[in-house]
Amino acid sequence: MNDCVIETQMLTKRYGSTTVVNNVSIHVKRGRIYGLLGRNGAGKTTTMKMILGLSAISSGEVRLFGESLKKNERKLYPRIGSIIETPGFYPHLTGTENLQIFARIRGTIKQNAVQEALKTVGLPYDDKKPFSSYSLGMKQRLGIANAILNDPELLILDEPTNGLDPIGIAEVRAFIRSLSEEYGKTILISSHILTEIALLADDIGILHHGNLLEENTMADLEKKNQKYIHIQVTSQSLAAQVLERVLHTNNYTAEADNSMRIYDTGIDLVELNKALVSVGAGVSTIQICSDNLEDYFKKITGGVGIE
Amino acid sequence: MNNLLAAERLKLRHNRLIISCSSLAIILPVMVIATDIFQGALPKYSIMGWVFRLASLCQYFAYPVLSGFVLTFLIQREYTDHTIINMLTAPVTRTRLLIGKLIIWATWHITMTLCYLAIVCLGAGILYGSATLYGSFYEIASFIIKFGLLHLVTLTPIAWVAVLQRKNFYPSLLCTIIFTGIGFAGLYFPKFLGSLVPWSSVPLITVPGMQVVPVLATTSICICAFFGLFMAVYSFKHQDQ
Ligand SMILES: Nc1ncnc2c1ncn2[C@@H]1O[C@H](COP(=O)(O)OP(=O)(O)O)[C@@H](O)[C@H]1O
Ligand SMILES: [Mg+2]
Repeated sequence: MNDCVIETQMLTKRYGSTTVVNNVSIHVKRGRIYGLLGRNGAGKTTTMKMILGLSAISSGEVRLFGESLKKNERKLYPRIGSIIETPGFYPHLTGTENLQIFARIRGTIKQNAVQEALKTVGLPYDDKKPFSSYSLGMKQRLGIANAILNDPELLILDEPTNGLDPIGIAEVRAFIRSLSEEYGKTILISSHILTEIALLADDIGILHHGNLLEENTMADLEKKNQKYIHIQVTSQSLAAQVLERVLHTNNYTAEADNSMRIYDTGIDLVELNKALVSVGAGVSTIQICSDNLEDYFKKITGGVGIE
Repeated sequence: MNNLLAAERLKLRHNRLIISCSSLAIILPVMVIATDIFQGALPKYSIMGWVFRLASLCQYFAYPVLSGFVLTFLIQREYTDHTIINMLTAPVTRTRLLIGKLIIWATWHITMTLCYLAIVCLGAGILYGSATLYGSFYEIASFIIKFGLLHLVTLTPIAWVAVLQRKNFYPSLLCTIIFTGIGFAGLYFPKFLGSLVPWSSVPLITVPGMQVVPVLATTSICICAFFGLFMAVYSFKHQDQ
């Protein structure tokens, strides 16, 4: 727990009588990519805004780098880089001029930080194009360049691939991964796109109608979605006997329709089939299956799915 | 704070609104004075009478309106361009951000007042001769600067409205026009009422020979200035972005 870069405790946001973020406790660990997944309106942006002090906290607490946010804002915030919703820049100025402004405000950053940040995201330094004529992809890149301008330890990225084309999404994803792997940054990223989080995150939090339904490592989730052998038999009790006595496993479940799931995937299918047939358990189906993430989210969000 | 002000100055590059407001603020007195010069001298006015006449056009009407516009757009643009989020996460404390804006605005306002003073002096020199100008310079300068500064401080509630309205702009522009209107109408207010309302107090205590209760007028101007400043900072500090 001590290694949490972001820790929220029962974080809540109310607008009048509607609660849009409800007792959310997330734990973002050092050096990891934490994906906050939720449909539009789930409360992802609001949660991030509360962490960044953009939005007042109705109740609960935020701890950053192991310290309470309250009274420590001026010490803690310079260690964070962020993009919240659409990146906002001065439309009549160029990308370089825009970054120079924010570099100046931050004050304590390296001389050639602007040049380096632009290079990192692949935008030209000192070109003459004003921000207003940038494409959406360029705007997002400039947003990322601004977020990494002061070489922060923690990045908070709110839907950084929103509106990008598939190639742009892949580029940004690769870039975020390299920030984590090569530069050791801790990253909190939100998205409403399941695959994006699945491909990128080490840890995942699922936000639904303002509630954090699940917080887990991707590795654990994959275990939950482990493979299993699906069989359909005429007699579940006979099949159970075979499993326990012949194949020595009790890692199985019995489902409706006389079907069963065997999670011990080391069992050889041919052998299993032979054993079942020999006791007269009447096999009609035998195959290896796996839950996918989508099914899982459907299950925990009460059937609505993620997209 | 120096970094913040430097950043604010960088933002003003190629800012068309500031450029047009500044140009208007300069062209207007230049045109009026040029008309006076081409029509020949103005024997019916004394030099101070001429300065007051010029003020009734520029300083009563045009300058407060232009100043309110500049303040409105300095604040409102941060909301419409979503840059306020990048500013606040840079991070800048909210009080500093707003004070920075007010300093930039005040600098513009004072610069324009000084430009106006220079233009008036130039015009007065041509029309009345340098000797007359020299004799009245102190009176002219103190009148114009006092008028300018008092307008500046009574316009702080515009900053509050600009914070509350976020992406809108007409509420604060409307306020600007109402304040300016009150300033002019105040010349016809009864003495007590005129001194009670801050925006009418400004011309009443600046232009000599007006019916005014000086203590009341000064008090109402001060209260207005601090109220505007306090409410702007307070509202901004407690605003969700
Ligand atoms: N200023 C506000 N006033 C009232 N409701 C708001 C406000 N801002 C956001 N909401 C509501 O809060 C919910 C969560 O919004 P948001 O955090 O933007 O979701 P997400 O980023 O996950 O799409 C939405 O239902 C939205 O309508
Ligand atoms: Mg959002």
